[in-house]
Amino acid sequence: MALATASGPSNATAPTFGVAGTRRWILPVAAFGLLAIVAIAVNPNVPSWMDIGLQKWVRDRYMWTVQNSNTSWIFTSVFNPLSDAINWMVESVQWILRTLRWPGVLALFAAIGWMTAGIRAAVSGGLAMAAIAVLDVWEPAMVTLSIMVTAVSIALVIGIPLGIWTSRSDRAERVLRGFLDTAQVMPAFVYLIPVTIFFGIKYPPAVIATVIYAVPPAVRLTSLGLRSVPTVMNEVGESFGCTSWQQLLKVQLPMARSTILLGLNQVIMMAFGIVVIASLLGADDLGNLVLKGLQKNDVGAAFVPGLGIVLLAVALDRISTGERSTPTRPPLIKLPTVDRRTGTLIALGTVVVAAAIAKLADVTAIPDALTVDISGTINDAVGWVQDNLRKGVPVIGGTQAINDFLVTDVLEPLRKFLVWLPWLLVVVVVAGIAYLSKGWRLAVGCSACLLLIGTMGDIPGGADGRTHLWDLSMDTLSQVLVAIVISVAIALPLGVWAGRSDRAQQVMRPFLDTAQVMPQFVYLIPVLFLFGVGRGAGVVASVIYAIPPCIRLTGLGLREVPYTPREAAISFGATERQELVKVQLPLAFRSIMLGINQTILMVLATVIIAALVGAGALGLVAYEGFTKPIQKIGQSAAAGLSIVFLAIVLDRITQAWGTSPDQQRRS
Amino acid sequence: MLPAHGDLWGASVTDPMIEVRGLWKVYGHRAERIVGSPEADLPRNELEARTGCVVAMREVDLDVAQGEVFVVMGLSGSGKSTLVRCLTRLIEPTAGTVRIGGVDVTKADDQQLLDVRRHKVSMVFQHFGLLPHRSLVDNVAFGLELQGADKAQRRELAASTLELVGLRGMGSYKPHQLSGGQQQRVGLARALATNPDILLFDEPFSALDPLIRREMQDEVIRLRTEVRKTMVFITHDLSEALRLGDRIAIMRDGRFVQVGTPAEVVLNPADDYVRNFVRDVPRSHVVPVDAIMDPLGDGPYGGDIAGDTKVRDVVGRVATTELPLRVIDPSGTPVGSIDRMGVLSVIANEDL
Amino acid sequence: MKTHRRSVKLLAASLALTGLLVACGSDDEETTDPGTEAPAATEAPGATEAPAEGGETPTSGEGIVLAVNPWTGSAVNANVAKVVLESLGTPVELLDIDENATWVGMDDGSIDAVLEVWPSGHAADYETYITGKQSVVDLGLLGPSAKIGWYVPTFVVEEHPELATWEGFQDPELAKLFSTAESGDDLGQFLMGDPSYVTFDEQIIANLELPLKYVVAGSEAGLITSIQQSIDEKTPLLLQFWQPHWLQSKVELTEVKLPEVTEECLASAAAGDGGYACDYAVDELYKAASAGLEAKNATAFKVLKNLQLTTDQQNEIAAMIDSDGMAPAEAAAAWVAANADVVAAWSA
Repeated sequence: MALATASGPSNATAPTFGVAGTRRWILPVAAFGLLAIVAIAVNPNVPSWMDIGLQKWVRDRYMWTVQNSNTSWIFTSVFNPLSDAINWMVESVQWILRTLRWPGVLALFAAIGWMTAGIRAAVSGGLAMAAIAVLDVWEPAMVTLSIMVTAVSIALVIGIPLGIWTSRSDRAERVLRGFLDTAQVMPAFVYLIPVTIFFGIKYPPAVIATVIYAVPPAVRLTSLGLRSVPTVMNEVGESFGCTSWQQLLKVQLPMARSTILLGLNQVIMMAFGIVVIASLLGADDLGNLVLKGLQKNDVGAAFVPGLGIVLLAVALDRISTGERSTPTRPPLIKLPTVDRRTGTLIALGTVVVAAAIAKLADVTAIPDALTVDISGTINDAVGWVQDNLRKGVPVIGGTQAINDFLVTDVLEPLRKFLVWLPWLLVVVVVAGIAYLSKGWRLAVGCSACLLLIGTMGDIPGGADGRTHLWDLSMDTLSQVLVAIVISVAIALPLGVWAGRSDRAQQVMRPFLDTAQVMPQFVYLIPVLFLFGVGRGAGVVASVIYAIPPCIRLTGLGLREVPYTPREAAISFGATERQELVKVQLPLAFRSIMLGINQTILMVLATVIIAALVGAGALGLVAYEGFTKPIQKIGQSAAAGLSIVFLAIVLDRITQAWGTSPDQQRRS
Repeated sequence: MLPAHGDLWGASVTDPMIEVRGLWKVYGHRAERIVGSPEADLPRNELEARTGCVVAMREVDLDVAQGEVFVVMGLSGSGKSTLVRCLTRLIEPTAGTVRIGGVDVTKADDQQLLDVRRHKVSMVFQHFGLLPHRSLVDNVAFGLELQGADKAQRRELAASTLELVGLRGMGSYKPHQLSGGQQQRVGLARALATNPDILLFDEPFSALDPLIRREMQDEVIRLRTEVRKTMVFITHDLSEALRLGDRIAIMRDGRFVQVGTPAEVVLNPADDYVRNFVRDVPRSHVVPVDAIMDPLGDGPYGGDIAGDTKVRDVVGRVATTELPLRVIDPSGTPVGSIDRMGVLSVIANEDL
Repeated sequence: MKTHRRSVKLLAASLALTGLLVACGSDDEETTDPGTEAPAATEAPGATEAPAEGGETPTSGEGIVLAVNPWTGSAVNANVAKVVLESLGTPVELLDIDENATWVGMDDGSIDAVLEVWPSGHAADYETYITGKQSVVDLGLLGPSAKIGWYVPTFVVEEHPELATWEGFQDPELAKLFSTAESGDDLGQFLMGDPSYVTFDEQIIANLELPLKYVVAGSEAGLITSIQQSIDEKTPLLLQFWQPHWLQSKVELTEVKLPEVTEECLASAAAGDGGYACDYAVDELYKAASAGLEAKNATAFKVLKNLQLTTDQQNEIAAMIDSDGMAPAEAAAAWVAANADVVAAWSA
């Protein structure tokens, strides 16, 4: 190969095309072909000997726990004190919030927002809290807040050290990764009742369930932040004689701060995602009100506390991570700048004064005159939507028609096909895709996950009296795939729009926040009404929840494309469209793939919500562990694990797509 | 034709390839009101405090002749990058006109503008601006692709252009596999591939090692002599400006302080700012003999020498002969003479 | 190896650090950590309501916790009990909680009693906690009985009277009236709701050889929405539903007659052999309490054991809540005031 250049040869090797490359393909093709033939030749169904007895094992453990929950030392001297401590934390936070009264809490939010992110965050944080007061859901909102604050603090105390550890040890990262995936995707309904046995009712199990859900982003983003500290900064630290410990404190953590803050934001969002489920265990919070509205089929009554949850999330988000949104416009009012110490004093002083005034004036509840009941309006709006979108919409025919098409022409054929495929063939094909995406290791890992689903055993029910979890997994897979395709098809164009227009991004932001945090229970009824009970409604519920991260990350990816190559393209006469297609989108590829990857995990995390509107499959089996724990905890755990395995397979393969084509190092 | 303010620093060329008149760039809310107003003369801080606007470039006039290398030199923040971007409206100028090859770019519609960018002007960027997801061939072929050339044709052309810049056979590499110098060669090849009339260079070599930088400068000199492209070259490096430029514009605070040939700038700095800049430049490196020659005498002469030869390059000649040398212009006509004393006086005054 | 050990040390240290950080950061963050809450600790529990955990010293006036499960009947019983017990000096906390978590709560004593259990859904809990572990005690029947069954909106039987019994569904043409996208065109859809209820529907359909497809709505909300839609649009619907339910008084539903309950059928249910082919047995609603309640508060135990409401009485209070929009506490207070004699008998 002639590399004669004046400036010396590059030591990088060129990609190999041509004969040598072709030969390398023969082995894998032959291997997968052979495997496929074997897969078709052997039993098309999962053989019964593969059942490792997980269901019985889980149920036996569960029953042991039930029998010994009041006597064994593990409860009396470990879990009960732990539970008491958590309860004490929640009630202490409540006590503080109650002592501050609502004016003090408003001032507190504004003060924190001001200190962390400036006046805009202070205003938006304060306004969001004021809106909660106006909606007349202040008391339950404070309960929710106390649970959140406790759970988020615990999640950080666990997550940040684990993140530090995983950032320094690849081995630790590999080991933890499986646990984190499980924690994020395993439906909470599977472990909610067991957690109740360990931690009692009301706040402690709610906190624990939330922590389980919220730890993964804390670990991941801490690790990511620390790992992306430039080497030169570490060298600087070392050259000045930092100990490993000083290095962490003085160099790495400060430099990773923004990523860790993003982690905090994700932790909060994740925590809110589970708040309604946690209130099934007896917390008198916003989630409980949502459930009560749902129980009466009163969308408006469920919407108001749901909106309260959204506002609380928005308030916490704005005041905790305001740093990321530096204002572009000059401030309307210029405040005198004060140093940090004075600022803190002013802020705290405001809070104290507000609380003191509230106490002196004996302000307890929000005056009725200030509150608004919007549930009626919401019900009218929902009624209109239900009356007008279900049928008789021009061209598309309405949501009923969409549902019928989805179920009859897409979901059912796809499900039948996947179930019909010999199970090992599915394993081989997925392994083949994994091999093409990354290599042997991934192929082995993915086949292992799918084979593990084969070991989960069967459950009663179905046409033959027993249904193997493999078949249910294929049912779930068919729904998940369809939901993913729809989500991506909606999210990509919106993400591109948000990435190119500040205005679009501003308009979309509250909707995305709402879609991500609004408890799905709130919109289950309209979705049910529009799409009818069944898989169509399930897909829609998943899509609503799953598109925000994809929109966000696509937009972010486009915005982060360095300007130089874009400018170069423009200077060569690229139209706006050409610049998007030829430069921005390819350069944002990783970020977009990450968005799609997040969407996939979100869809899988909502499998159980889909089951609540009639999507059945793994989600329903997992849910039954909550409704009939003694009989069904085993199969519920098996279904939950199957969901986790599916998630890992889809996650790893799409992640490989995001990294493999080119190492997109920037020039 | 001549602008009223009479500032003709750059406008001294007949039938220019690039013609810029009264070009302004002001950032901020309602920027156009600043143009030409008394406020524009306020110091930067005061202007920003009073109006929220920042003047990046003010009242630039400039003509570049066909085949000329015009260098704009200034420190960072002087407005030189803004100027080069306004030429093809990568940055929209606030006021003024730009004509390129007779087309008024500032009034062009979208299609005309694309046409100028695709066919007439190419640009080489400081940070290369290569597309990391494309191979070198596809990077070089980018402009052709936008022109609508078919794949085989543009690849062939791109491959031969790569060869021209010394990257033969590396077409399937990705940018990140290359060194910085090699990457900028690709950037250069990309600009050349569309065979434009005009090349714009925005500090193209400032990120490169000195040796590589010199090599690349040689490349530009070669382009000037071999293909006679019109070039506008932005740099903050005075020696680079002196080496490459037919004419140099010194820019400061958004305006041209001086425009002239390297010798003019070095010998007659317009103000203290420029004087400070050129203080350390050895005169003999930039002064051509025809700038310091004596009137033609009776002879005899020790030989003939071209008028544009730099003084330092005649040191050897005058050292070997007692006789003065005869200076001839490009047409071969004798125009003056230079002797040992003349050369020595230039060199002796260098450190003043 | 060395780096490995160092990373472990770091982990331990950073754990401590994070705790510290949270502690220091609490001036400007939400205060959550033990450090700053020390003053709160002394007051907090006292300042809040009665603690949920049962204490060790039994006194007759000690507060108790009653579970309220997510349906109106459950709220009725609990609120009536609260009014009565509080008039007798026992503070009562009502806790909105899921049914299954209720049993776990009674098991460890954090919930003292639940006043409406539907036996069909909790046979396993009865066996585990009441018969087996004896951490929960049966407080006897509440009074009203309930029944799960197959229902269609009444307009369906008005148009097709033969669909009033299960035999009508043997006709494939009639069954097809109930088809949906989920069931496909050849079968009718049978909708099952909340998975927490007992269900034999799949077996009934199979054993009676009905041309129906068993579809799980997954939630009560799914059932209710389907019923309302069916009635609004006059599209036939067949589903599992139950009595009492607040919706029964708002829309007209007719129960489809299934084959009579037989000994054989019940035996099949007990054995779990998949041979179930008859109607659902009537559910006699019962009350249950934590085993510790009697020792903790004998009065409350006695009242709750005696507490009984007739179906009519329960419906009357439920109507005040569901139809008249009264808060459960007000409705209960009003009813107790008007029915002093009934209530007096419980504490006698």
